[in-house]
Amino acid sequence: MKNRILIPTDFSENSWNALDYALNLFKEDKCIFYLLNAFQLYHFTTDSIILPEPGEPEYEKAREESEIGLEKLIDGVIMKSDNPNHHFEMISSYNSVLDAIKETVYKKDISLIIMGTKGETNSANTIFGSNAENIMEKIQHSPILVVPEDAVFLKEKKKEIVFATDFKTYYSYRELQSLISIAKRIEAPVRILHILENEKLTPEQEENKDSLREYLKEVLYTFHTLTHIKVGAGVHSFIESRGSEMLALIHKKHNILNSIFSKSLVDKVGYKPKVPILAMHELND
Amino acid sequence: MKNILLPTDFSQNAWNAILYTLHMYKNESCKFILLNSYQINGFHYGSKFTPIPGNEDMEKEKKNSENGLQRLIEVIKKGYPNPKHHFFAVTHNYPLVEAIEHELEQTDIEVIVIGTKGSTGAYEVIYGSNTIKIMDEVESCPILAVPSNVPFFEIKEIVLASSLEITHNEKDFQYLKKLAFQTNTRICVLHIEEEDGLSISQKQNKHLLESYLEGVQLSFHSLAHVSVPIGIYCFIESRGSDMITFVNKKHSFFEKLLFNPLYKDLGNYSKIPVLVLQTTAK
Repeated sequence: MKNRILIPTDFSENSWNALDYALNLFKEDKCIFYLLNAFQLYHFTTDSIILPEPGEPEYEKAREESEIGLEKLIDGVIMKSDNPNHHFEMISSYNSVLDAIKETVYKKDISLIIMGTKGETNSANTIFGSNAENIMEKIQHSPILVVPEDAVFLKEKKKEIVFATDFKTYYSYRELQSLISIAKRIEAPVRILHILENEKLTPEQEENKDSLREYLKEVLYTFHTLTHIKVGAGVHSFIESRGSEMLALIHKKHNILNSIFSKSLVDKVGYKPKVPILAMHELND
Repeated sequence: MKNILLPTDFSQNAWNAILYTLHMYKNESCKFILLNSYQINGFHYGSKFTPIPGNEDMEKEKKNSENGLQRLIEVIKKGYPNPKHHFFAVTHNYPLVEAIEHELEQTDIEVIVIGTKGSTGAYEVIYGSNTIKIMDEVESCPILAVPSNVPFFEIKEIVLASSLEITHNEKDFQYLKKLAFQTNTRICVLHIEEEDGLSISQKQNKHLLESYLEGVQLSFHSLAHVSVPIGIYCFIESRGSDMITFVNKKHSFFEKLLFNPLYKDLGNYSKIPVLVLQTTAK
């Protein structure tokens, strides 16, 4: 089965880096990469309530810019590495980034979104700075891999994925599928990290831990615990200490790990993710 | 031949420290000096306030100590035979620290290895009063404190915690360097960033350290946004390191770290051996 991967781009350095990371991560796999550029005509929305329609010169100009940008991007990729496993499709969408992603995930049956981030809050007109966080929260139907601007996928480097969890919620196999498949693909052990708040796990937590054991039996994994430290700082220290490759989280409502995404934490500890974050979602069905 | 001092009170902790040391030095020619300091009703040579016990009592205690050491050596030789290892028994009626210092004057000692209780029990018990006294007062020889619940397995990684604020001499790291070569161990230098980046003098000290430990597999790490004890704890726990080492300095933050009851339940410091290096730096 082909992987169907969505790569939103604003033609910035960040989004180019995310694309490069994606191409390396999926080097050996048959993939269709959907390169998505969303364009909007902001200045019209502030001056007037009437948005330019297709056919109007302003719209046509923006659309052309978007399409040319995507064509150039694909040319650049093919020039860099012509991988017969990889196919590209370009989507130019007159929409907000969030809605364009939502629509594409639905229409193209996307299995993974890979996007860049600066890792810190940027000026408002940079699409993927502050927006990455927003998109991680709002897009519910596909896992998202957020790649910081200086992350490089090195084939030779030994890798491991840190999966931070508090064992408080039950995860289904499907919710964890993207983690398991990436771990298999890059032959990375999964380090399951728990920041301990209480001395002992509750019976429910033990059960959830057991189900993880079951799901992850196809890959190598180990359990780790840190205490006396806040979740954000603990996860950060763990990754920094070990030089781990990637952080995986499940985004659930009322989940303590949400604090990793939250702005206040970013501000408080200056936590700037240096590794890609795989955000998985609660699936309700 | 290396001289290694093993103070023992014949306890389980001391025994574990001996086993750890034998294993650590299994490929080295060593002279192990087993030291027992005995006392009778609290009396030591030099004590002014305790009545001098009768000769008979003295002789009896001395004999007990000597016999104990002889038995210990026999057990070691039988259970852990190694043609490269030689054993000597020394009995003193000095307080422990003085007995150790007496030996340091007589012989060129490579390292002192002591046992600690490990992570069971109260904090004060983890590092017993003797351990604290030795770490605090012996200043001329590296000290390795081995918790009783640590079995020896190959040492793969030693964490050298350093603020990089003190300019050390090459000699301060001599033992660590030898140990790293001997056990083929990598050293991770850990610095907890209190401010952003390193100052000029910290950078210089870092370069010095690199040159002192030339040839060793060396890596530098820093953690930010955590306090020093928590940062060191997280680092060791996250990586599963095998030993923690630092250079002793009076009133250093490590003193606080090791002996501060605030961190008594940071089990980790009591889970892996702690190597205290001495400094000649001012």
